[in-house]
Amino acid sequence: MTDLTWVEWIGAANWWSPAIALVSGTCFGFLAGILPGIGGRIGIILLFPLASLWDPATAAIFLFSLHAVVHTATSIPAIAYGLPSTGPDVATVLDGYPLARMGRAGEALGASLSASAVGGVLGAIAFAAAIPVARPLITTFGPPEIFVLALLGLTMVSVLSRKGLFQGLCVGAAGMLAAMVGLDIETAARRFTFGSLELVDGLDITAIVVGLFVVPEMLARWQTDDQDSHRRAVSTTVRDVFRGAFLTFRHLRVLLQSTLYGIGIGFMPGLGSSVAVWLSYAYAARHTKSEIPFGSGAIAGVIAPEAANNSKEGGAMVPTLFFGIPGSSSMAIMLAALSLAGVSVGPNLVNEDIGLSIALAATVVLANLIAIPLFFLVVPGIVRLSAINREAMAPFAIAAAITAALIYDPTAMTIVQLVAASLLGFLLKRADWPRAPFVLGFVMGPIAETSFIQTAGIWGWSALSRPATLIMCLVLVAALVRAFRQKSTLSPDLPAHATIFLSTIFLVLFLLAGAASLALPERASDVPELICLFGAATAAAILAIQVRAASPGSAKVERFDHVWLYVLYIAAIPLLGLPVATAGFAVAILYRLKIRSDRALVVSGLFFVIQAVLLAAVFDLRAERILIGRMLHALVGV
Amino acid sequence: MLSEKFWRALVPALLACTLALVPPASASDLSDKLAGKTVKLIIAGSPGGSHDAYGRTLAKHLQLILPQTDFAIQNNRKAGGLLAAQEVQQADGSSITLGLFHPSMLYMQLLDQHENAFNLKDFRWIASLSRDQRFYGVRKGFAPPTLEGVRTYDGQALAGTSASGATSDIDLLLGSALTGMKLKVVYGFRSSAQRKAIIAQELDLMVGSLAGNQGLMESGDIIPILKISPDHYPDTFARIPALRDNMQPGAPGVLAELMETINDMGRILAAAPNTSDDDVQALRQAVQQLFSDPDYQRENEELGLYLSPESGSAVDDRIKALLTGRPTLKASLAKAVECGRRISEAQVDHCDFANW
Repeated sequence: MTDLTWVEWIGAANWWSPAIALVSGTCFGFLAGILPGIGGRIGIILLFPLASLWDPATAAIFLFSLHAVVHTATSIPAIAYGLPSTGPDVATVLDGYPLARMGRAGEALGASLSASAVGGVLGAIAFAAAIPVARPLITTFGPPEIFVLALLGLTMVSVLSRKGLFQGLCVGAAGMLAAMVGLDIETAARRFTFGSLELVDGLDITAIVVGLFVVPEMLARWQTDDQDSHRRAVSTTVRDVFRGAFLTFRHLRVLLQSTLYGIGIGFMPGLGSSVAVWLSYAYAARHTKSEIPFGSGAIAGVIAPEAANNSKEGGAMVPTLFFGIPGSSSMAIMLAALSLAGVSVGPNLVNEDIGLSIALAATVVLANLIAIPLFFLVVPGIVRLSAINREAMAPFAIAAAITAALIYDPTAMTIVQLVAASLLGFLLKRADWPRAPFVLGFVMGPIAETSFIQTAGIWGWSALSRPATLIMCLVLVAALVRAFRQKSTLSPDLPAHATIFLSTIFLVLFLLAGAASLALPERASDVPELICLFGAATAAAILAIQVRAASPGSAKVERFDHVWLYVLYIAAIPLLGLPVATAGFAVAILYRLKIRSDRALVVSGLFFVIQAVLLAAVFDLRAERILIGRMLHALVGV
Repeated sequence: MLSEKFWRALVPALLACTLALVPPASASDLSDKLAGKTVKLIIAGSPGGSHDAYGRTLAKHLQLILPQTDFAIQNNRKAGGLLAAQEVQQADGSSITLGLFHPSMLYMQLLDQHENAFNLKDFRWIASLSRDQRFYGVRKGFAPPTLEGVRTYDGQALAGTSASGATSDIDLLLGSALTGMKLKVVYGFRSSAQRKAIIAQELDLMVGSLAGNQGLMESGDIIPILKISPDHYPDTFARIPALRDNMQPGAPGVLAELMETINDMGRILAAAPNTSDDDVQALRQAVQQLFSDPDYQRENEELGLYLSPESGSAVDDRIKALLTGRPTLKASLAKAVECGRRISEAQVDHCDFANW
């Protein structure tokens, strides 16, 4: 593209054009992050036409600045409304949303901002520093190391199971079992697809996250919020956000460790943000002392995932730009967009186009810095809005999350997955069991299985002679020893009836799935059988301990409101379409909350318009008409 | 008296003159034929991917020459395009339904992996847009980096693919069975992981398209050793041998023909089986017209999309010839894949074609 040095490249460029690309890309990326369901991937697809206004290098600046700040902005709905857009955001919700319910959303968002900014900037610097050593960096870690890393991730279930190791293990096994749905890569056998072609590619993580976290959280009875929290939330100011931003630096070790995790995992193509985020979160949870336990509102629980999520993208730029190998799913879209914009990626970016490589690193740094005032500009208002009437926000938050799930996969099977995940989410929350291990099992399980197949196929036992594998095995052994030392195997405070009911359900589920696994071809059934055996054992142990307990658990079960309206809403989507069903759902809940009918209608109508415009922009409304017919056919045979 | 020879020559000449005088279908004629109709294009690929780029560029330019026709685009990448093909097969006729597929659907149908969700014989072929230009390549440092080097390699060369039954899996197994390369196929390597493993020299061999591996070829990380089709590759492939010329003695030539057909029709556009003849003809004409449209060509070039069109009738001929005119194809394919699998699992080291 050019043989100028990066200083000459910047000097030769027209300043205004890259500057406009940088600022507009950052603003659009920020917007894409705030709007649930858009995010980096769809944001790039939607905004790519704007990139074509510029020459290839400036278009790359636009796309990278857009992409650099998306993760920073997705923390806003995740913390303020408990609305995770994707799997990695769940880790932020775990502590961010409880902080918001305490009226400390401003602080949590400030911490998320500074962690994201530091992660993003250090990630970009790591990318620039990696230029001379890019090749050894991405080739040091192979399938054997990834396999051990995945096992290490799975041991982190214990960290996410403060209320009881057995429950965490049982839920984690259920997550791994859910990840087994689909095609077995070695034998092409279809595992647990029930004859449905729609399930051949497996379950959809967005639908699972929405059902498991967003819906139960939004419909849980709002009795825990006290007046003090409410008062603090409605009076959130920029000062609160600043305080949170500085709090991050009190957790410098967590910040830097998570950033390093993110960068390191970014170098390994195909591992995904979830791995970086969950490993960082779990590591922070294990090694950080916090007044508020992790999962209940620990500020370090916000810092770790945000730093890892942003820094990972800096690491992922190395394989993407220097070898044309996308380091993450959003980088895969980025790669396509860069190619369409005429930017040639590959080894030439290290040699002839080093100026562009450095300019892109600088773009990521600057975009992260530009995002800071944007953040301060919008956050106080969003936090105050979220606190005005939290219960009235529920239908809109649920609708936004469901729209996000359906945008990715607009089929009846997504609806089915949403229903199943919501049911599981209600049951887990009601019994006060941890839900995060499900996502961890779902993300790590397939990585462990795939990397094991690769390792066995290429190295066999000789994989243990690789130095990096050996070192990681030692770390794994230490983690396992630590996990087994954890004393809390079953919390005495869990609601007894709900726990007995849930463990029975899990026991039956694992036994049925185990029986179904027996019918699979030999190699396809190995891992599911192992998971079912393990899951059934943990469920049986929970059941036995709870039944034999001298006293029933003291905790009250969680109650939910508007559940039937939610069921009607889900049933109405295939019949009426998403915008109409949403408007009806919102009006019904607002009516039950005794919101003035004119206000309810105006707010619901406004949301209807926004949703319809979004649908029209992302996928043609004509397509949605066809989709409605297809869903109807699939569900009721009409 | 005019001779019979004269009359025999006159009839075709008159016919040719008449055809020459009839003007080609103009944009307005085409526009009239499809006016007021809705064309639903189902792209068997993810938004933002290369299939998507081909499909959307085509739809954009079709819309320009058919302004009164309504175009709606959907992506359905699930199950390797199987669901998209099923949707085209089952289209109810309320709109004209088109599907843009990868021709590896032929493998799916011939190996009975398609669960009777579609039948390519029923599809109404509109055109083929591109070519895959697939090749087998070895990693840097593999000595010697030639087909013969792989054949005589001490042990099995390691090759990666995403999953059993995937297009590259079938290509690797067939390559192993037909050419005598002793490949061990390792699963779990999607394209990005595969390229990384080639760079890291964890895998010895890969099969892929030229477009997807151009960068690694330029850096010398991948060295091509065998091309699937003999023609339509860049000059740098001039000395690379073609599959059909390097088959093991007795290997069924029809399998090379199948692989070449799939390779030569990178993206195929089909209409639903119940599409009327008139609509099929109008769509074929419209797409043919686009192929010679400089704006369409320029946009494809700008987007880095390799355009190498083939007419609907030619695609129809090639697919029907394979599916109906080659009675041994299905059985040969199944046997070759099975043999490739047995070579991969080190149960045999070559295929015994004499006993097929």
